[in-house]
Amino acid sequence: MEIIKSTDLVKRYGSRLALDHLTASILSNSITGIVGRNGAGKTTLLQIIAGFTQETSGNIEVFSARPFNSLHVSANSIFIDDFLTFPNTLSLVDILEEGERFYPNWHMDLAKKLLAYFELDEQTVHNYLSKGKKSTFNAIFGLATRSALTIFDEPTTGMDASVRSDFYRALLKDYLAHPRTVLVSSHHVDEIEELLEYVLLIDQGKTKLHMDIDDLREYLIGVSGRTELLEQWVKDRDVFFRRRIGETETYLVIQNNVETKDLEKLGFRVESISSSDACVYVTNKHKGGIDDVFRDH
Amino acid sequence: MSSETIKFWPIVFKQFLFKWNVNKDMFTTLAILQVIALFFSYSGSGSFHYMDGVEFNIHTSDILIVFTMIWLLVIGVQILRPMNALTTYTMTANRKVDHMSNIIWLIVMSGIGTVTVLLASVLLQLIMNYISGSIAIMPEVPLTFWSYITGAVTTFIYLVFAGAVGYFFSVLSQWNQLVKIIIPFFLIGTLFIVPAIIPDDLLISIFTFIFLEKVFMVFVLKMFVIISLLFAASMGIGNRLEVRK
Repeated sequence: MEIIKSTDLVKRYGSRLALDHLTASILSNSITGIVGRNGAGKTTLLQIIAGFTQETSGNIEVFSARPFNSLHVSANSIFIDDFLTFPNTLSLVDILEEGERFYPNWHMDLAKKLLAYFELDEQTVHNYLSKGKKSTFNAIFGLATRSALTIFDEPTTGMDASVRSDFYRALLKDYLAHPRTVLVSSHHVDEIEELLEYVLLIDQGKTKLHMDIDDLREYLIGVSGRTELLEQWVKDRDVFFRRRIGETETYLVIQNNVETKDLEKLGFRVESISSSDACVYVTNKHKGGIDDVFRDH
Repeated sequence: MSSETIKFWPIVFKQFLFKWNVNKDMFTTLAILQVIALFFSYSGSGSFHYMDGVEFNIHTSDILIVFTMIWLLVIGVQILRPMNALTTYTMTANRKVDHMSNIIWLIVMSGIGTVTVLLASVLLQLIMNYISGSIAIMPEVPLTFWSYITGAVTTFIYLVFAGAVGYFFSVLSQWNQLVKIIIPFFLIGTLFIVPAIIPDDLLISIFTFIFLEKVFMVFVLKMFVIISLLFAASMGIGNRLEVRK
């Protein structure tokens, strides 16, 4: 069942187009990574889904309702990001108790265990925590709600590597025990790819790719070989990335719709492209990469 | 996990409790303001000398009410600060729930404000009687139960009015940041411009019409309409605002 459906979704901030006719749908009880470069429109999309921001035009449905200002969507979703703050007048455990009153599926036991595991003092005030600890607490809050729709927008900002991997593991374990729809946005696809079932890649406010994570791992291949042969062969194909290797050879990244054997017969070397690299290549505006900037100097 | 259907009023009540818990520190501010007000009242709001060196001071709890009104004006503004708004929406809410719970919270705070004003004015009388060493001359006509009630209700209405005004300006300034700059100019401007344009008589009669109504029930009715309009306008403007930009 589709829990989120967006068609031709547009969001405009002044003259800047944050979402440009974005169409996508998210299945219920799945973990989807919302991936894209800085300013691609990830946060805008997630805020519209959570009902915090109003779309400029187009159509968006969450739980079959328009999310903006919807009590139904608010009751069934949680939006966690690093701007989330809690009042100074409440201690961490007070905040958890408030959460328990609002969220019917709230899991206090899990929340308290996670607080203890991540060494967060129950009596501290949220504002006095370090940046990483704040993110950790926010993430714990998000997990404990067990909302039908759980949205994490860059949840690991400021967390150190071990806390990050612990958090993702906790998310995965709790998701397996209590399936729900989870959206996670991140710059680091490699970090969350173990967790994800689907990837929604957004580029310049549009859906660039939306596919199974396993398909994304095989979406692109890297081919290297003698420049003239390779360029001749690749003439009619889309090249996502191109780099010269030494004087005579070239490395290209292309879509994986050819038989590896055929390529190897031609004397080319083929290598796989990881999902995070695939995301970078697909959204690359300059086919040559950063090296091009320095070419003439 | 399946989605849950949710009812409006239970969520409003939960949000009210949440705001109550979060903003408990407001009572400290109230206490400080009322102590200051007591000091001012102690020195009297008006005095005159009579022959033979006898000095008369008039002591009223007007200053107490004014200070408590300022307190409500301030909490009416601050309840919509971004920090409060963020946590409100992290818990379950939409605009309507947010406004309704804020308004109920402001009305409850006005109720508490009224009780503290009444208690503080009793305290003021005690101070005058026992500490200052002067003789308190009570009004010639003893206060009836009814006049205590009307006094309390009037205080309560003034406080809710202050809260509603603060809340209205807070919503306005969220709607457009410029309002924050315009309001001070507007307020100062009206001091000079309005008297120049509108004749004094009219100004005085507007003020009298609203605040100095002699018939108690008519006063209650007028203020009820004005306060309802302020809250309704706040909800109307606030309903289209985005939580995060």
